[in-house]
Order: sequence, then C-alpha cells, then structure tokens
Amino acid sequence: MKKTSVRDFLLKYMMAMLLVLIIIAMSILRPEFLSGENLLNILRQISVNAILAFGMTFVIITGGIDLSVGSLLAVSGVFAAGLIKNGAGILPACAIGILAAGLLGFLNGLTISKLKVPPFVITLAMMTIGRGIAYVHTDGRPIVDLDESFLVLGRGKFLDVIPWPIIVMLLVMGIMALLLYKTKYGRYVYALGGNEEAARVSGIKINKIKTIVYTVNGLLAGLAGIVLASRINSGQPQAGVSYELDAIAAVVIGGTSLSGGVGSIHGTLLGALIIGVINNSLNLLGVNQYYQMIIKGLVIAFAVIVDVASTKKNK
Amino acid sequence: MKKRLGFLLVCLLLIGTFTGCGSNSGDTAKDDSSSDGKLKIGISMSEDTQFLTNVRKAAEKRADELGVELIANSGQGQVEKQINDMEAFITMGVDAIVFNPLDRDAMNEVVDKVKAAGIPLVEVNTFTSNDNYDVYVGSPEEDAGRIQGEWIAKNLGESGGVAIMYGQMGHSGQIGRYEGLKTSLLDKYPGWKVVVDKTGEWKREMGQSMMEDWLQSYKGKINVVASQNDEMAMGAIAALEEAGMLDQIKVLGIDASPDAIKLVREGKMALTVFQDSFGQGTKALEIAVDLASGKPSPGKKVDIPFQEVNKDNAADFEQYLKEWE
Repeated sequence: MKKTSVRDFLLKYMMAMLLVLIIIAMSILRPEFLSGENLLNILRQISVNAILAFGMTFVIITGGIDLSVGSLLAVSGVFAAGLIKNGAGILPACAIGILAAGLLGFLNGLTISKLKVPPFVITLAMMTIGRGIAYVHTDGRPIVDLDESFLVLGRGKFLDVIPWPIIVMLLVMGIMALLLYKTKYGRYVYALGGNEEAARVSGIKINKIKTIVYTVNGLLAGLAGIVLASRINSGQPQAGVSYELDAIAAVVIGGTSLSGGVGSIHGTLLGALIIGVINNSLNLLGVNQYYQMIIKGLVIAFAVIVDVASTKKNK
Repeated sequence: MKKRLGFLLVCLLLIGTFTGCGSNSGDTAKDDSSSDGKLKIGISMSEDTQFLTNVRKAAEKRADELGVELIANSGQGQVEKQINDMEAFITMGVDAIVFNPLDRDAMNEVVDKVKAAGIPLVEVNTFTSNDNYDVYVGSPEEDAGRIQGEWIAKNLGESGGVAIMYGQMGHSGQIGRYEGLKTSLLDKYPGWKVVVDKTGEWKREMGQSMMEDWLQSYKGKINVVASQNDEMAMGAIAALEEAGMLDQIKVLGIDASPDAIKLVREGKMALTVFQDSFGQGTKALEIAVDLASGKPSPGKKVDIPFQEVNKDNAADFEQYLKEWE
C-alpha cells in the first residue's frame, strides 16, 4: 500500500522534481544561471510558447489537437506588421492580426465540430493554408522596421524590470485558468474530453464548446504572433514554423493527457518552463546543439511514459 | 516489480543524461577559469546549410589551433531561437562572439545588448543593419552577381532571356547578388530580359520544382538560369537533365560547394562563384580572438573576395577543398 502511494507521488510530481533538479544542478554548475537577468530571459523566451500552449491545453483536454497555431501566429504577425507599416494605428493593427488568426481558428472549430473531420487532418490543412496566407501577404519578404511604439510590447519592460511578454503570458494564464477551473465552460471542456457521448447525452452543446475552444486557440496564436513580431521587430512569414510542436510538448510535459479529459493550465506552465530551462541550461553549458535536440526529445518521451504509467494505474 | 525496476531505470537514465553532460562541461569550464584563462568564444550561426556549416567548421578548426574554447550554436532558421542563443552567450560572459545573423533587421536589438555587455562582436557572411558590430567578415555579395552577369554577357551574347532563382527574400545575399547581376547585365545590355524570377529559398528541391514548372510555361524563352546559390542551381540541373534540355539552357550557381564544382568540371553547370566559407570562418575567428585579447580592430569590414569557378580552373578548387577535408 505504502509503496504504491510513493509511486503515485513520484509520478504526479515527476516533472516538477525534474525542473527542481535541473535548477539545482545548474546553480551549482553555472552560477550565472540564477542571475535575475537570466531568469527573466528564460521567462521571456518561453512566453510565446506558453501563450500558444495555454490555448493548446484546452484543445488537448477536449481530446483534439491543433497543428495550425504556428502558421496562425505568422498570419497575425504579418497582418499587424503590414498594417503598421502602412500607417494604421498600433492597436487596430494588432486587433486585426489577432482577429484574423481567430477567424482561421473558428474555421478549424467549425469544420471539426459540424463536419466531424478529424482535428489532426483539418488543422494540418490549416497549417498549410495559414503559412500560405502569410507568404502571400508578404510576398515572401519579411516586413521590417516597424514603428518604435509597437516594439514596446516585445522589448519594453513593465516598471522597467519585467519584460512585457512575461506580463502578457501571466495574464493569459490567469484568464485561461479562471476559464478552465471556475466556469461552466471549463467543466464542459473536461466533460467533453472525458467522455464525449456522455457529455452529449447530458445536454452539453458539444459543437459550440469545440468551436469556442479552437477559436480561442486561434486568438491566442494571434496574440503570440503580435508579441513575437514586436520582439523581433518584423513580420516574418516563416515565423513560428514548428511552434505547434513545442506547444504540444509543453502541454504533454505538463501532464495533460493526449487522450483527453485530464489536464491543467499550471501544468502547462510547468511544461513550458521545463522546455525553456532545458534550452537555456544546455546553451549555458555549451552543449552541442545537435545533442540539445536529442535531450529535448528524451524529456518529451519521458513525460509521455510518465503519463501512460499513471493512467494505467488509475484504470 | 519488473515494471517498477524499468521505471526507475528510465528515471536514472534521464537524470544521468543531465548530470552527465552537466558535469562534463562543468569540468572543462573549471579547467578554463583555473588554469590559464583560456579564451571562450561563442559562434552563433543562422542555419545549418552546407556552406554555413563549413564556416563554422573552419572557425572550430582555427579555434583548436589557437587553443581557445569555441561554443557553437545555430538558430536553425528561427530568428527567435538565434536571439535566445545570443542572450545565452551574454549570460555566459564569453570573451567574444562570432555572429552570422539570420536577418538584417530582426537582430538589431541583440547587437546592442552584446555591445552593452562590452563583448567584441564579429559578424560573418551576413551582417545586421545595426552597424554597432565591431567587424564584418564577408564577401561583397554584389561581386557574386556581377561575376555571373559578366560571364553571361561574355559567353552568351548581348541579348537573351534569363531566369533568376532568388534565395530567401530580404537576405543580404539575395539583395546584393541581384544588384550585381542587374548592374552588370540587365542595365548594361537591354537585350537581356528577365523571363521569370522567383525565390527558391536557397533549397535544392525548390530549384528543381521551379525549373520543372518553368520548362512547361516558358519553353524556348530561357537561355540561362542565374541561381543565387548552388543548391537551387543543382535542383535546376536535375530538372533539365530529366527533360533532356541541359545542352540548351546554361545554369549558373554561387558558393562553389564540392558537388557544384564537380558539375562545373563535368560541364553540367556553366559556372559557379567561389565564396570562401573556410576563409570567412577562419578570418572571423582570428579577428574575434584578436579583439578578445585587446588587439586593435582590422577595420569595420574585411573582404574575402569571390572567385569565378569555370571548367578550366574547377580542378584547382577541388584540390583546395580537399585540403580542408
């Protein structure tokens, strides 16, 4: 009895312990790791991925997947950058960028819920469409030299200390956590992922919930695109290539089950943190970049093994 | 029991991976600081193309010879990743950075950050529009396009149709090479027209598919393909060979990668332009080491000149490349 509970505990907090372990190891090996500047760097570096991953958490809890977010991010970034370049106000430009990504997300949701198309396939199609839109809009060239005031979001600091992307990330996290834990909508999302048929029978409007989940995911991808465009001072049509995979990785490492019904927002932050800390640590240690990829992959594999091990137990 | 054991094993393995690579690098780092103050240089590449890998390898070789520690990273084509890599170099407090920026404009802020940290910055192969860097080591891109343009005018006459394959749009190489081609050919000889131009993003497979399409849409109108790198040119050659039209359309590349030089020697590629990746990497590293040890800067710009590679001298270049193997 006692042994199983130890095992449960280990499984539950495995990834958190991994993070603590890395942090302890790094603070010994590379004292500069713990410098305020480096820690803020890490948080800012994970912000785009975390924003994407918070939306992705909802999608995966419903048992779905969204491969299009990297492309939607680019759509939003190049739309906003293009408008700003043409003299539009910053806020309307950003709003249009985010809404454009949201619209594409809405289309994802509509096709998935109404036409019963598998999310993997339709969002794969949207990934290509979105990337195409970004290239068409820019004619393949990055849109550069944006208005100084636009750059504040990506480069400026709140109270001169905390970079704005971190604030945006925390705000998004707060809102998404409230939505998931404290509202009827959040409960429906879990119910849907746990057992879609049971949810339907109990009167939950499944199609509506699914459409909202993918729309919100698109909007968040749009927001992430604005943050990234501001940070790199350009609307790049190739921005965000393969970011959907990093977002999915953060969600999975954070304990959200790919089979749906289980997951959390704080877990996803943990997942994004682990990826960010590992990237940063391997960089500071000067580990060969190709090994870095292998190590990142191993961590994801490890997270999934933990996930499978713990769900097996529950059954 | 078995299951639990396997599980424990996985954990141990993973932990081992981390602490393993950690302690290794940790040891070497300790050696540096305690022993002789060995210089630590960071090199941040934009992507892992064959050419840029050669730049990095040359820098690594020279670093070995000079006895400095070189830490290499690649942005893998993502602006954000390369910025993160550069920030990590700043945090580590490296003594100098060799920087191959992915984008002219997007990296400007990080250039300022490096300089604010007082770290010497040598840009190599491409440069940022923020000219706060110390030295740029590269080959003047216009020259590569000019060598192509002059070859066309000299060998194919004063009029005809040229198809242009661009690299990544907005890349300093893309802009400069086009400038060179334009001034040496298109402006000088109005008889030369651009039949079609498109970006192949430096990629071989895109060069091939573009050429296949062009053979359908512009039959008989294209006399020469001016590709902005060898990869796309080789893609074009593959498409032309398949269509049996290699004898009718000349293909020009840039970079003089080993397989391209071989094609030039065999007469399949009309010309490539040698951009000395090894020279760039070696020189950039040397300058970074000099600046890190307080020696004066050689000036804002150090040119590694482009050279024409044609059927007659291809063998010499093959010999030179072999010495680098």
